[in-house]
Amino acid sequence: MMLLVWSLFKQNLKPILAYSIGTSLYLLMLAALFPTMTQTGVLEAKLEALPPEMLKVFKFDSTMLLDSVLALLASNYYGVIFEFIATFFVISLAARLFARPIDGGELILYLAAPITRHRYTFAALSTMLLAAFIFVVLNGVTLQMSDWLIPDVAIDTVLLWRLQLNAFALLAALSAFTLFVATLFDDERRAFALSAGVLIFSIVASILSGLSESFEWVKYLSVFTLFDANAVVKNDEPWLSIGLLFTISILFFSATFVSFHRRDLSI
Amino acid sequence: MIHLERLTKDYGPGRGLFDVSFDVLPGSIFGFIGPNGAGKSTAIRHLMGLISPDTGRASIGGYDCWKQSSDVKRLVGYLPGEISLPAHLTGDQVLDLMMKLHGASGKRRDELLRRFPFDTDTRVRKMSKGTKQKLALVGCFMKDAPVYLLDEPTSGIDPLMQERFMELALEEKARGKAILMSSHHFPEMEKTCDRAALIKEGRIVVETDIDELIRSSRKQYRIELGQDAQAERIAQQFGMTRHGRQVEFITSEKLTLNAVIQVLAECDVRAIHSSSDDLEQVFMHYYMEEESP
Repeated sequence: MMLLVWSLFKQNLKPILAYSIGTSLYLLMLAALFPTMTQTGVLEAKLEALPPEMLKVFKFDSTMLLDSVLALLASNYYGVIFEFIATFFVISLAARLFARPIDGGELILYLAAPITRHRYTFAALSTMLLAAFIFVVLNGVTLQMSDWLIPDVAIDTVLLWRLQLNAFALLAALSAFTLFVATLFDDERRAFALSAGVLIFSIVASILSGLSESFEWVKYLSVFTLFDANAVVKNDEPWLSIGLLFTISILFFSATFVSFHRRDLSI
Repeated sequence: MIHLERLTKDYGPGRGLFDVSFDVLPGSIFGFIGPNGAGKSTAIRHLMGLISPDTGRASIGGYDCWKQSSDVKRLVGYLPGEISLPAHLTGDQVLDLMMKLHGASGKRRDELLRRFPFDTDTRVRKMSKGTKQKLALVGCFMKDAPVYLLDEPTSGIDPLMQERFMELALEEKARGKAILMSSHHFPEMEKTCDRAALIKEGRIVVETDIDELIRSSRKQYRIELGQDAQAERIAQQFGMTRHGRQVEFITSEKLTLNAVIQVLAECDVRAIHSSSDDLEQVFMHYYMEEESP
C-alpha cells in the first residue's frame, strides 16, 4: 500500500508543490508588507477607494478592523482567492489521480497488478489528503516563520492553526467530492465539467449571499460557507463547520469506494 | 486454466459479447481472431476483472475474474491492446514500478531487454509506437506468470521483433504457460497457436484446432499462361475467371490444386501467384462473405 501511495504522490509532487509554494510565497509577501501598509495608511486608503460591493465579493468584513496579518488574510487570501485556488487544486489532482488515468488508460499500469480497486482508491484518497495537508502546513509554517522573523508581524498561533485546520477540512471535503465525480465518467472532460460546474456555482452562491440580505439564504447552497475565515479570526470556534466538512468528506469518500468498485472500465 | 462460460455483455445490437465460451489449457496458445470491434478486447477485459459480465462467468486458475480479480491478477501477465503508460516516466522507471507492483525478477527483465532492446532512458512521451510496444512486452513477460493475456502483442513492432516475440511465445508455451492472444498478424497466429476462435459481432463463429482451421481454408491462385488459347481452355474446363492470358480460381472440394496442376503440366506456364496466408483466407471467408448481400 505504501508503495502505491508513494508512487502516486511522487507522480503528482510537482503540482502539489507548485500550489503549496506559490500560495505560501503570496502569504509571505502579504505578511512582509503588512507593517508598512498599516504604518502608511495605504491599506485603509485602498479599502475606502473600492466600492462596497467589490469588498463584499472579496469578503472584506466591514465590522472587522484590519489590525493584524490574520485579519488582512481572512479578508483577502482566505476569501474568494482561496475558494478559486482550492477548486483548481483539487480538480487538477483528482483529474491526475482518477479522471485522466481512466480516460487515457494509464490506470491499467496499476490495475494489471494484483491490486484491488479499493486499494487504488485508498491510495488516491491518501495522496489527495497528503497533498491538502502539505498545502495547509506549508501555508501555516510560512506565516508562523514570518511571525518569528519579520518585525511588527504579530500572528496569533492558535488562530493561525485553527484557520489551517478549517482550510484542511475544506480541502478534504472538496477532494472527496472531486474524486467521486472523477470515478463516474470515462471522459475526463465530463468529470472536469461536473466538478468545476458545481464548485464554481458554490463560489458564486457564496459571493451572492454576501451582496444582499435578500440573497443570504444562498449561502446554504455553498460548501464554502463552512470556511468562514473572518469568523475564525474573530475567535469564533469553527468546530461545527470542521465537523460538517469532515462528515461530507467521509460521505463522498465512501461513495467513491462504492462507485469505483462497481463500475466497468474500458481501459 | 482460462475458462469462459457462456459469457454475455450486451452493449446493444452486435456490440459486446454474446454467449462466449472457450478454455485455454496450460501449455497451449489460444488465438482470438476477429475484426476491430468484434469483442476480442472486451473478452480480455472480462478476464482482467475490468468489466463485469451480464451473465456467464470468466475464471482463471479457478478464481472468478470479477469477484476475485486480485487473485486472478497474481496469476496473469497482461499486455493491453492500447499501450497507455505515464508519459513523463522513462522506460526504466516504468519497468521499476512494474517490478515492484508485480514482484518480478531483475534477471528476467535483463533477459527480455536483450531480446527486445530499446533505450530505457527515454521518456514514454518520446517513444515511438514500436518502442512503447517493446516496453509493454518486457513489462508483461517480466512477470513469470502461469497465464498471459496478450491483446495484439506485435502491433507496431518490426518483423525481427515479431519473430523474437514468436520465439518467446513458443518458449513460454513449452514451459507450460496458458496464453490467450488476440491478433491480426496471421503468420504469427499460424506459427504459434494450438487452437483459435473467430469472433464476429460478439459471437464466436468457429472455434477449432489451428491446423483444422487452416485445412478448411480456400486458397486463391492466379496463373499466367504463355498462350491465349490455353488460358481459354483451362478457364472453360474448370469454370475459372480469365483476364487475357491469366486465369484465377479459388480452391474448393471440387476444384483442387492437384487437379489443376495435372492439366497445367501440359501447358506453357509463365507464373503462378498464390494468395495471402491461409489463416487470412479463413478470416476473409468468414468476415467478407457474410457481409456481402
